[in-house]
Amino acid sequence: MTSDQERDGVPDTAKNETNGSSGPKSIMLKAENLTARYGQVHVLRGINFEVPEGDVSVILGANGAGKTTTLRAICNMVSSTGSVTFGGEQISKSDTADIVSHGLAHVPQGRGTFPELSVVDNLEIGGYVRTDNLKDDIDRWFQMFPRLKERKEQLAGSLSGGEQQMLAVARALMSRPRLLLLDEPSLGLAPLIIEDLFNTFRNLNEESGVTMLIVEQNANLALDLADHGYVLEAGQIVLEGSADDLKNDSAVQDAYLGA
Amino acid sequence: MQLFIQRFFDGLDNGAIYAVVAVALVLIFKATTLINFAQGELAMFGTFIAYLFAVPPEDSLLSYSLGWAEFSVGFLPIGLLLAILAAMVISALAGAAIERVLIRPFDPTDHLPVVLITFGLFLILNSVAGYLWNFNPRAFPSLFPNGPDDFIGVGGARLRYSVVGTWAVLGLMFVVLWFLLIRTKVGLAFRAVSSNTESARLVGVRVGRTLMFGWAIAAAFGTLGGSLVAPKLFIQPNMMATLLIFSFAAATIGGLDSLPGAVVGGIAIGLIQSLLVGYLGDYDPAFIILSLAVAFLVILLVLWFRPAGLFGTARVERV
Repeated sequence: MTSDQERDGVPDTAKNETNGSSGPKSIMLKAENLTARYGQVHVLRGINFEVPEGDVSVILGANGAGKTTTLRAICNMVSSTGSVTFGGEQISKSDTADIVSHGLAHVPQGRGTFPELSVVDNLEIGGYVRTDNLKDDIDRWFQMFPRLKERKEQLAGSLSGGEQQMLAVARALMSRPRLLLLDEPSLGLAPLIIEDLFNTFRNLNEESGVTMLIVEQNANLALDLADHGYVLEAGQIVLEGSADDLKNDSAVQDAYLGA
Repeated sequence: MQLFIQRFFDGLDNGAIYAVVAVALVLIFKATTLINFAQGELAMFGTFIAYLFAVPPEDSLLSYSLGWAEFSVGFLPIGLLLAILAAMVISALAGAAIERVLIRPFDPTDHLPVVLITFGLFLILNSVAGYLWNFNPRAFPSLFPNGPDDFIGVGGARLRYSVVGTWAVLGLMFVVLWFLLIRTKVGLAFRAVSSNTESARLVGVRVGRTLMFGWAIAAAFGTLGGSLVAPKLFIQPNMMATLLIFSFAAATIGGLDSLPGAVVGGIAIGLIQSLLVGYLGDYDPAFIILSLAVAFLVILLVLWFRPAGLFGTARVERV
């Protein structure tokens, strides 16, 4: 019965979201005074940021600024303090394995696919927390990434870097997230593939209404896609603003855009 | 030729048992990169539980005294097949409990404490079994016809029904394992945890519970292996000591993280052992003891020339 309603595989909450409509956007993810450390090394020194529903937000920063750690702190994969609320719900004490059932999917740096599992198995495990039939969703993401369909019985470890990134994104989407966390999706990929991938992200955001928080070194690319962004330096947010403002900011141009 | 075929059959016989125990070792290793040194003793203890259920209480009776009280426990025999199945279920529960209580509290990335715990478990199970049942070998019934005439003649050599039966059980075990790992959700989760624990957590898999499942099936299959070998080795607390070493060698040949590799490794070790002992040592008991050294030599050579084994996944470290 429900499978008819869900044929297009888009979560209802995401479909009737606010993208393009009037009125203030509600805040989907909010981090307050977030700190994180590895052992004695403090990586995040109390940062605040928000991801409005329906938006693409980006965190820019150089290597070692704490971008990856920020995403890991949201999912409680590092020891952290401060508050993280998702859809108004406090998740900073949630177990990593519980985060995804809140509607938050994390595509980690280096793809994080399951190399010894087939492409289809990777997608199925992506829908692990769901109890309904996954087939329609798998077909849907195969449509979006035909390369994955061609390779569906192949082991994920045998895919190219670009294909693995597609698989990682498709796997994350299998949980029908409201928010997608993407950690350096462009890392190690050829320019054409990156362009493809970011077009896909744009489609996902505009057509399926998936909210995104992207962490990127490639500022040009990220700011083209994003609605607004933050600049992270040495564990602190030094700048924030709309994507256009950031693009025109001279400090950002000097440090990140190579202009 | 006849002698060769006979030694070949002998090798297959031992090889099947090494394969069963090696599969149990590989299951745990795949998921945790941890060698469970207590695997053999778990199998031994499980076999004793099967024994409790399988033979009349006067034979299996557990009688012990605490000074102030005497205990006697025995069960009416429920048939060997049922007894082994019951023991497998009990072993599975025990395996899951061991994971929960002894393994999970410790940081899985730090191997030494956990390895020491499995060593401790080895000693505890061995000594408790010795206390309960003493160290005298006892006869254990065979699942298959095992009389002097129960064999198929092949070129003058004897392929015993028990060998055929053991291989049939091994085949069945693989079908069950395949079903559990490929066709069930917990099996998919187990493979995901084995492949990438952190990503498994990110998609919502509860890693601890999933590993518990691995420990449960490893313990159950260990008990199955013990019950298959017990008619030949007799049952006593040290029955698995040498067998475990051959199974380690089998698992190493296969690559430690490959289930089919464990079976191929089991056959290889079984054949190496029976042919070597047969041809070089002429079944001299002193030489049979040396075959343990051969198992070690095999482990050494594999680790030297092909650290990932014949079927294992080579670990690529990116720096």
